[in-house]
Amino acid sequence: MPVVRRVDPHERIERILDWAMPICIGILAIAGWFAVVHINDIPHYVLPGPDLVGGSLWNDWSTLIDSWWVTIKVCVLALGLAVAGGVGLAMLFTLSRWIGRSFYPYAVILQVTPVVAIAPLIIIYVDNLFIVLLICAWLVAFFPILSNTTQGLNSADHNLLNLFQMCGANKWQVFRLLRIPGAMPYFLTGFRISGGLALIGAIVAEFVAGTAGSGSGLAYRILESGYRLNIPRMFAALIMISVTGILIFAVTSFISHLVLHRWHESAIRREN
Amino acid sequence: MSLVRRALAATAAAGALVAASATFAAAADKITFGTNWVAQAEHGGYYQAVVGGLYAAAGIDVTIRPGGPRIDNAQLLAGGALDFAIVSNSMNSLNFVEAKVPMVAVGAFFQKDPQCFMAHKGAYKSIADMKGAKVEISAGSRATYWPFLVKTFGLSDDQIRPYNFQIAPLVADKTLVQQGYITVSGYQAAAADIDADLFHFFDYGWSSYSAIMTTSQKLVDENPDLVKRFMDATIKGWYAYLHGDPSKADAMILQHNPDYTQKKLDESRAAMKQFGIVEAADTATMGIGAMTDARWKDFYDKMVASGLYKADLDYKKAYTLAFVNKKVGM
Repeated sequence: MPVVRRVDPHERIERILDWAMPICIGILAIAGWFAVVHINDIPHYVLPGPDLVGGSLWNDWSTLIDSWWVTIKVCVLALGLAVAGGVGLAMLFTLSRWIGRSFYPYAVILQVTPVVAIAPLIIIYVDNLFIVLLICAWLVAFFPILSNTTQGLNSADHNLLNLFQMCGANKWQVFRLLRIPGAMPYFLTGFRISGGLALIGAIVAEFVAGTAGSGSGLAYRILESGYRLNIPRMFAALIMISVTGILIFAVTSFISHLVLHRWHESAIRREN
Repeated sequence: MSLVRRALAATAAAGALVAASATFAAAADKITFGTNWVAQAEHGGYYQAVVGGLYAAAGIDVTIRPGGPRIDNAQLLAGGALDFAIVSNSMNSLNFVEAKVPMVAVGAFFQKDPQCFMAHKGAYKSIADMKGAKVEISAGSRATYWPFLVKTFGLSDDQIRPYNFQIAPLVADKTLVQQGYITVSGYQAAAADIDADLFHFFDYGWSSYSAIMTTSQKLVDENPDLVKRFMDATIKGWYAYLHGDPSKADAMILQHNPDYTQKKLDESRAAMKQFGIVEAADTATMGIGAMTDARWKDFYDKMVASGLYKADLDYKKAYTLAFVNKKVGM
């Protein structure tokens, strides 16, 4: 006999509110925007109304979606490399204290180097422009993963560490069975931060490094629209960037939920 | 008379004096005018009109606001931050029409757009010869002359490399092509010890005007007299700068742009004359600032052919010939 979980009506309302409140705020903001533009008769080249921006999104959809695809490719690849690089380095830093001590300061240097300033240099060193963009976005995205994962790997419960030691576990077993699962919540926090940063990195990189070939990302669309005084299209591109950011956040949050929902305190229901 | 009263009377008198001088100052029209780059010899005529008192004589109090790499005059004009501005090429003017921004070109102080390509001597015979070469251009250029060159000379988008306003990559790579500016590239290359060839787009059919004086349609409609006074003084400023003593204007340019040098000023001024940037065929008969319907049409047709504009744009709204071609200052 299947167990029927009784859904508390109160809880149901809460869930609906989770969706409804942001949507209400969004609708109010757009209505306010529309009102401000039309009541004050603001010229479209200063601040376009949501109607014009929506129209531009509709009319220029094919151009914009092509550019979106270019940007998202850089963003996702950079995030993947940031995960690989960040987690790999964090493991190395934890496994060998000497490597950690020697290299951590240099990872911090990479973090604080403004990508805008070094992009022109990277262009000179690296011939392939796509790789230039990737390096720039990766530089921005990888540090939160590295620092969070390192922190996580070092945060294993000392009692459990003692228990593992008592049972004669070797270093690798401690790592695989205790440290890595324990680091997951930390890593996933870093992952969610880096998701947004990879998008920003991809766009900033394109602003400074530009794109070659027929593929032009959203940053180029913004530059070009500004030049052509097509401000509605500029806003449309900005909206696509925002929506992409929300999507990336949703996807990374979902992955985090998948990994954590069975056991971690942040994801399971309190019993009392 | 009590002390207080005397003080009050004195204040009132002083107030009246201030008010009087204020009304006197208000007699001059205040104008903010944006140039398209940091102060340099290419703006000599405007600075000459300021220091030579030409604007003041025309009853205009002009503040020059220099541009720069991230300053977009078209957007500043549209937003109302500037009364007059120099825009860099004829496309800017067509963009105003396309985006329905009521701005209009009132004169062209550069008859030829100084944009060019720069490469090592002998590396390429012509622009058509550059197929397959790496070409460094700025992001803005992708939306201006580049599509025209692609269409006309069979270049392709995958040749584009980002240009970061440094000559170093050209020094390092003998096959590279870089965007340049005909009035400065010559001495820039020499300073970097490069024996360079320059390919002036004008010679390849890029018929854009440059240093295009632009203002709002509103000002043209409501106060054409002010526009006329401003334009006449500016035209005279250019004649004085190119054919008279430029030293005062140069001094003000150096004050606005301390990184600049007298040597560069002299070389750019000479290059403007050598390449006929300010004075060319049309100005010889109609005066500096000249524009013609034929030239605008030629440019617009080429841009339509390059796929940059629709064929039904009312391009004639981009400019007015009411303030030039009057042989002022000749």
